[in-house]
Amino acid sequence: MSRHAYHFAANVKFIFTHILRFSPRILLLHAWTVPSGILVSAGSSFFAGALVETIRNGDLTAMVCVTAGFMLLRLALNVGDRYIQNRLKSLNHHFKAYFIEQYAMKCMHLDYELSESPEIRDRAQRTHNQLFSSARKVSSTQSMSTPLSVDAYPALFAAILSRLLGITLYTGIISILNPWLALILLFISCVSWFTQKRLAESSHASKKDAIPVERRINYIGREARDFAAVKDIRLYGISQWFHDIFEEQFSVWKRIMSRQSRLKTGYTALLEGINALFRLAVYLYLFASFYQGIISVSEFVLYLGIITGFGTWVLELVGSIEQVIQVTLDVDDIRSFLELPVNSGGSIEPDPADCSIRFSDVSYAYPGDREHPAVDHISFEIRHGEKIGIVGTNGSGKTTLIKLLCGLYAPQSGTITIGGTPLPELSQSALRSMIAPVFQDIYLLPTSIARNIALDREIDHEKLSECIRQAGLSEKIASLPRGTETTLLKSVLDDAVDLSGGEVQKLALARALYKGGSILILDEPTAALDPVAENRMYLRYHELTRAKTAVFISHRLASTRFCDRILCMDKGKIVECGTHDELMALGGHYAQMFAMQAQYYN
Amino acid sequence: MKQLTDEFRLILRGIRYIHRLAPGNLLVKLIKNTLMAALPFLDLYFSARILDVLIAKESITKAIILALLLAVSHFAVQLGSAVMDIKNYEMFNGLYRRYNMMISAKVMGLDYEKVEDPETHKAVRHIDNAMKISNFGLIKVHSRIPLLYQHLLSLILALVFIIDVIAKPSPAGSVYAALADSPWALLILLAAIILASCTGVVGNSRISANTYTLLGVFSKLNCVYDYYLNRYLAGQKAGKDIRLYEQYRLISDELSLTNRKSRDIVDGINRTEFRWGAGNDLSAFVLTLLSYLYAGLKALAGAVSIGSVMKFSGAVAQLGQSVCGIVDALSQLHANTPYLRDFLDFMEHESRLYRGTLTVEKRDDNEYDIEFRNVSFRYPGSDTYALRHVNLTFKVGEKLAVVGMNGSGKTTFIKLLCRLYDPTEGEILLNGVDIRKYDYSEYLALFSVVFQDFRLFSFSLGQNIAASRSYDDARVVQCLEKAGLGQRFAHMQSGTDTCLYRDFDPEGVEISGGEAQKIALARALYKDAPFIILDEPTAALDPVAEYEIYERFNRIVGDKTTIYISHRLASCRFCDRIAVFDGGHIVQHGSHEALLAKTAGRYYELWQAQAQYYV
Repeated sequence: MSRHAYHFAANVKFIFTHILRFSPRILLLHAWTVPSGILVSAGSSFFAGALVETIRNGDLTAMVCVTAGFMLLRLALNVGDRYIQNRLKSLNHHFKAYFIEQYAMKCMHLDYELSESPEIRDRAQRTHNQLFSSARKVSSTQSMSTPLSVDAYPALFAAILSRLLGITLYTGIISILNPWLALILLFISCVSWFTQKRLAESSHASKKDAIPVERRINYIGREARDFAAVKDIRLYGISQWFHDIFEEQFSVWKRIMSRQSRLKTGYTALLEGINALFRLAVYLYLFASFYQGIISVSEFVLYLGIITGFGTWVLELVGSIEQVIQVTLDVDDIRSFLELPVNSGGSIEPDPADCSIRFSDVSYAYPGDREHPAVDHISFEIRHGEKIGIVGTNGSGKTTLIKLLCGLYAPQSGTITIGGTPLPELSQSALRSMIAPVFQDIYLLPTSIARNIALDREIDHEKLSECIRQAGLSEKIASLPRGTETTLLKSVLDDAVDLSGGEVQKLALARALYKGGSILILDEPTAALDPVAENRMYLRYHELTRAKTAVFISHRLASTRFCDRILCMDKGKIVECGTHDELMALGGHYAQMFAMQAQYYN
Repeated sequence: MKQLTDEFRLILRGIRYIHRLAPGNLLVKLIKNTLMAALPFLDLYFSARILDVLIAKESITKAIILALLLAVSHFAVQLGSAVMDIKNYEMFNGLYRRYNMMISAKVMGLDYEKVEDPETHKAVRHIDNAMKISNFGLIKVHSRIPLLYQHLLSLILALVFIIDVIAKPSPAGSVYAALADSPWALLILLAAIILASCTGVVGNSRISANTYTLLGVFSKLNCVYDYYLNRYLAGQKAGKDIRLYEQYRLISDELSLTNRKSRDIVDGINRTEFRWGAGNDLSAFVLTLLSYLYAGLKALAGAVSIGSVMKFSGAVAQLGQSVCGIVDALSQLHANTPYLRDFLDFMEHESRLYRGTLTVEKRDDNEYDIEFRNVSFRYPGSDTYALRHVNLTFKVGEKLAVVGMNGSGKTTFIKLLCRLYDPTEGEILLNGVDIRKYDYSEYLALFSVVFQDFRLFSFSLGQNIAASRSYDDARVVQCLEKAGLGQRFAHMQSGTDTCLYRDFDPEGVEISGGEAQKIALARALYKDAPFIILDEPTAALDPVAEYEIYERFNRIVGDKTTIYISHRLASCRFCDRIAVFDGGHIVQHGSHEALLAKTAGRYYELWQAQAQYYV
């Protein structure tokens, strides 16, 4: 509980800081809702009593005055409330969008290594779920679970305050009739509070059971709807497989749901029963008072309204408190992700004229497999302007090595320097601007080709077309009616095009060239190219890498011939190093792999 | 009028779908809504009676009986509707999931031509988007039709209560009676009701008109937003590029631009809502005020009891609400029409692919031969031929290599062979019979294909290889070994039950691109079809793994008819024949040696481009 309280305080501070930063008006607007709720409720009870009184007295003027007065008050409060709720609706929407931007920025700025860890991914996923309530949309059609989110605290606090004030006021009024009555009412309310709490807990528990099942169901739905998978689905009869899994998971899910339904039905019956008894008891007590002559008819009406209102308020108060607890859990998720620290690196600006790279005794093991380092005590040096090839079997550590060089991973031991400065001391943004990589997996953005390459709103068109030419993409772009303004990703934008695997690879190369860092890194850049395009790329290799330090990873050993030196990796170690001819003469690992490929071409 | 009947018909079709997805769900909702409509009138009726008993100082027993009746009936109705609500929650959630799966199943079964058609992508995206933004489409029918019914019922009950009071004549004589029974009083009341309804109707239609135009824009914005947040960032895979290319500059620009636009839209919608909402408040004020005064006059005149005043005003308030509710439900259903039509059109799109009935001869000797006879093909909507006058025969047991530049028609050739498309001109024959005449699924069963962009799924390894819930364990292991995954498999703790990826099972295994390719190959082998087609099966493999596949190629494919597409021409060495594609034509055709001898040919050029580096 104390931990809860701690979280609660920190969460409230977190959310309110953001609200104040975003728009303090949100708080002012909520503050106004506190008195208006009480006024409307209390007003209608007094009005009903007064109306009965005036009619009984046969006093037309008084009746008109009472009615008009109350209706005007209600109109004013209603319109005011509508205005406030309306403004809040807008502001809350924007506030949520503001949080989504915070989330996106955190996703993009977080240390890469951290972003890959399952625990952080889980946090990100939960934050994502909190911010995009679409997953809750289905359940929000049900009255019991209101969608909760980052904007919930102020509304809930205002509601709690308003209910507390209201309850105090009504307790005062009821005490005039009978002080004991207020106490008994409070007790009954507590009983229904506990029932409701149990209901919330048990439904929360079974919701948890349903989550993994729902994830599987959603997964199948998503995969089956992915157009790119249809070929396989068709030829392997996968739709039947999916159908079977869906039916299986669906029946599990249905069992969980009907268990939940039974539970809910039981609790609801209990709650409604308590409610009915409460109502009946109130009537009976008031009847007794009336027939004993303690209260008049109009007082009967007044008290009936007040007591019913009291009951409603207690229930609402309880509901709000429950929601605060729920929101606190939700905000925990969000805060644990958004408050992750971001490493912005050191402060040293590198010298672009010196891009010599040195690995000294560098090791790195992935979190899941600390026993077998992916990179194992590696030392080597790349001189400024040198062209290096890296070869090795799958899983020999090539890509990990590249990630270390890019500063995406921090080595567990050893140091990496660029231009003599250890990576952690270089400013992150400067390091990033030096390196232009083409990774194996390439992802495009739903925007124009030009922006996909320049990755900026400001585009240097001359440079752009030069890079496109160098990457061998000019022909394709010339064939598109809108040229570089053509948008990509058919699945997102209506009049976009999709590029083939080879074209995507060329686009990624153009991207790297446009960026123009002094270290060019190419990871299997020709895997999807046909022999002629591949050959063209080799022939252009020197042009592409002029005045740059270049690292080239490839399974096609032909390509490494253009490199000044080749590093041959095996099981996380550099086993051989030298020029193509030297390594061939050595007759080791490299020569063996080369012979394997070459034999078919002889 | 015609438009109205059309809309009505669409809704009926929608209801049929809902019924099929969740039988009984609508009935449950109707029961719930009947109870919900009755509840406020039940309360009004009994409280009025109780008040009258007290005012008339009738016996306390009578009051107690009435209170008891109120409590019991309120309890029964409330509980009934809560139970129905719980039942509905369960059924609706099931419906929602089945609905999603139904669309997915439709996508899986579409003619392949439609699968590659951008219009289809758009249609599915629109259906999904409409659903995401405000449950438009089928689900809207589910939520609004019962609501419409509830408000109609409530309207009728309100009218009964109101007329009951109006119809009571006042005892003549008093000045109040003259006022209350004058036709003016009724007229003014009626005018207020009409005024309130009109503000409701006009306001609602303004709000919906405004909202739905804006929602259209919103839906487009949402696509981009959704892509960045739910796929690009959530996938984490683009993380390297995001950081090293500082893509966050562009992405946050795009996001805040989208945010700004959607801000304006939301503000616009809310402003309209406020204006008309306030108008509604005002007319409701006039109406309630007048209804109290009218009923009050009647009471003062002695025509009705004080309880009836409460009953009457309550009923008028309900009347106002139900009119607004009806208008709202109708306008939502109206606005939903295009979305519902999108959904129904998509679901009821008929397959145009000709599905023959001829059974494919099951031959133990796998004696099949295939002939492409003057086949030409244009992609729908394109006016250039992707394949032109292709003639080719291949016999059982043959190993055919298909080579050519990117975009030369190799993959199209495979798609025609697998009947993902039908030729524009010419025909493809299996054992001398046009392949269109064969039963579609039997024909597809002839081919094991490893496409370049193959897919594996986050279920167990065994299920992935068998592409089915149940599988033959021994055969799975055998295929895995053939595909060269034996070593890795030996390390998998749960054998064929091991899950691929960690989406569902924390014990699942992450696999590399090369391993995935081998699993896809094992899946093709498990299918054990007479034809095996491999499209770039070694692209992600390192030289050693590639060599292993080449070395064992004949053992892997056995005596099956094989088509091998690759950019690595080394693979042509162990194929019997090679077809060289260029610009949609087969430009060369023959054995490796024969083709290499023609130094002016395309094959020689391609070969040299690679081989020069290995000499």
